[in-house]
Amino acid sequence: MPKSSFVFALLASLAQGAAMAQSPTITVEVSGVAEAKGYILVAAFDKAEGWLKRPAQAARADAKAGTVTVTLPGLADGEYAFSVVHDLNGNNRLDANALGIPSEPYGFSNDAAGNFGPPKFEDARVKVGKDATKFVVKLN
Amino acid sequence: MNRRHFFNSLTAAAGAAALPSTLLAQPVRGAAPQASPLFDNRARTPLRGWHGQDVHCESALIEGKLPAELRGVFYRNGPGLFERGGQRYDHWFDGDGLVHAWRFTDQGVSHRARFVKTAKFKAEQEANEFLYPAFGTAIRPKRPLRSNDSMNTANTSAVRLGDHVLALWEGGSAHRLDPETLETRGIVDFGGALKGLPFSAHPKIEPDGTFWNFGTLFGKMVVYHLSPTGDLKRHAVFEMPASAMVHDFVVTERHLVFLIPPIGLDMAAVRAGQKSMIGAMQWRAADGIKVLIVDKDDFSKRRVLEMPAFMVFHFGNAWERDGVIRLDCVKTQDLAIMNEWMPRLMRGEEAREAPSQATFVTVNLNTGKVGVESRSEDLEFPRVDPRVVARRNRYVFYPVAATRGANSLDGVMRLDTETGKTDVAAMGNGISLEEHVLVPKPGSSKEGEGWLVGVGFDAARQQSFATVWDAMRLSSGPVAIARLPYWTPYCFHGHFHA
Repeated sequence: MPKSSFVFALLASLAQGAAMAQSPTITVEVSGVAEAKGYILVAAFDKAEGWLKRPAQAARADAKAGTVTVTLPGLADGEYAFSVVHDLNGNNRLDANALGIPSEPYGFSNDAAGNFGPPKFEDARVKVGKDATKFVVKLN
Repeated sequence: MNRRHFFNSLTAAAGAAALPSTLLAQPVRGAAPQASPLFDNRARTPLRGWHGQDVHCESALIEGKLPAELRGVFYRNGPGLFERGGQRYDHWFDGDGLVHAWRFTDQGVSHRARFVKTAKFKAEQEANEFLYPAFGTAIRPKRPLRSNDSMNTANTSAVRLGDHVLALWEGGSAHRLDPETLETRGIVDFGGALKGLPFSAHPKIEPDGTFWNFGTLFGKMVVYHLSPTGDLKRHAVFEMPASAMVHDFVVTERHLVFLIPPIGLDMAAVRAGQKSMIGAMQWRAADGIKVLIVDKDDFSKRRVLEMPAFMVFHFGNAWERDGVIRLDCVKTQDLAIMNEWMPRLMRGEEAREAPSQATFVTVNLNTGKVGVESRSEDLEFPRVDPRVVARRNRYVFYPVAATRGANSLDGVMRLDTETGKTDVAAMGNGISLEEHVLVPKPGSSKEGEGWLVGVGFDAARQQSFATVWDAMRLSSGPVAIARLPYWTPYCFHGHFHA
């Protein structure tokens, strides 16, 4: 597995200021959080280009054991794929070991599963709109 | 010695002790191994696997006489579960790790077997189906593959290190188990950039306890130097000659030595879910074996030599004098044993395998020349006296196909590498023996003075057993056999801790 496919420094910038007032607030319920350490990072991607590299929106919340809810204010209606990272050491990124393999828990919308690499954008894509504002992502 | 002679002599030995048969019926905890509609070959029942249950037998039936000085725990590990929700794995290597503890005490021999509670095992046990791709079975992941440890079956060897027994699997982290109960405590985490790196199932432990290991994954190798209690002293990660599988290695007085077989990998087919890792392996004989030699004192000092291709899983030992390394291993011709023979066995077929032969490699560091010689016996799972690991040894012990026409390793063999002479005992058709390890006799100092201890399966009785042999007198037959009132899945490897 190529290093680049697994090391996604997806939250280099936490784009807090991009909220659009007219859009509904999206909540991502992250389950399977093992411990109250660090942060839960959520990033929303709106297209395959830039998947896991350039999020349209991102947010974080303090980690606690069990389920953590992260809110993304103001995502315009459309299709998005969410990635979630349990940032145990609070460095705002998914850490990897010497072989480039993630060493912190992570997950995707739709519980999308990659095969020896991250899943495709299409597999993690969900519809976001006024009737679709709550999403669940499992860390496992 | 043929089977009839063996059993006659055993009856004579046991007769003196007049063991009443009532000693056989011992409490067995856990559900009895069930039949499988997906596998039917009574000659290889252990490949049916168990269904996730833990089993305990207080007291095995002893035939012969257990040596009074043979006390300790024989930890073994192997793939123990092959089926879930009507699906059966294609490959023996895929099963979930089942760790065994055979305890040799004043009361006799007890047996406990417990599945390693890996994240994979727990999730799949709950879901009652396979959720992750296996090494030899292409399964589309039903849960995200977080890392190589998502597939970790912890199924290849068991060794005591510090306060824990480690369940080892070459593709990922070691699991820590309680030495008494075999309950899973967690994974070994060396932290930071080492977290989740592969830690092979074939560590080499020198007589003073110095512990060497390695791991390979996707073109990189990590080597580890651990203290006798398991503290990481040194490590290094570096690019290695390409190969999809490096299973074992050897250590000399001065070097770590790897024979890296020419195995390519069609990773695109694996990613697409079309092929398993084993299914995607490609034998590239023309590329030959790369002999990687790493300086024990300075991991940055490395050298690569070349030799003609063969497939190798296991090594016995290595040592060196005046810049010449001598090592022994077991070779087969190519990948057929892994990607043809083993899948056929898993389907319940009786297939003949290409022979696996004791092979001796000489690596001359002064000239760069590599020499190879092989013997003709069909054997596997070489082990040496733990007192000679990484120094000059004379003997190597193997389970061997000892009876003409036997379709299993039905005997044991001691090879004298100085004279070429062998000491062999056959248990006969219907018996399959696994790896046997040498346990030194307390107070002895001479190589080979000890007992050879191993396990096996008796197809006629549909039972598993442990064997004890006088390591220097194998042809006299086993000193003792400890029979369980049930069969267990085959194991790969283990260690005896006195």
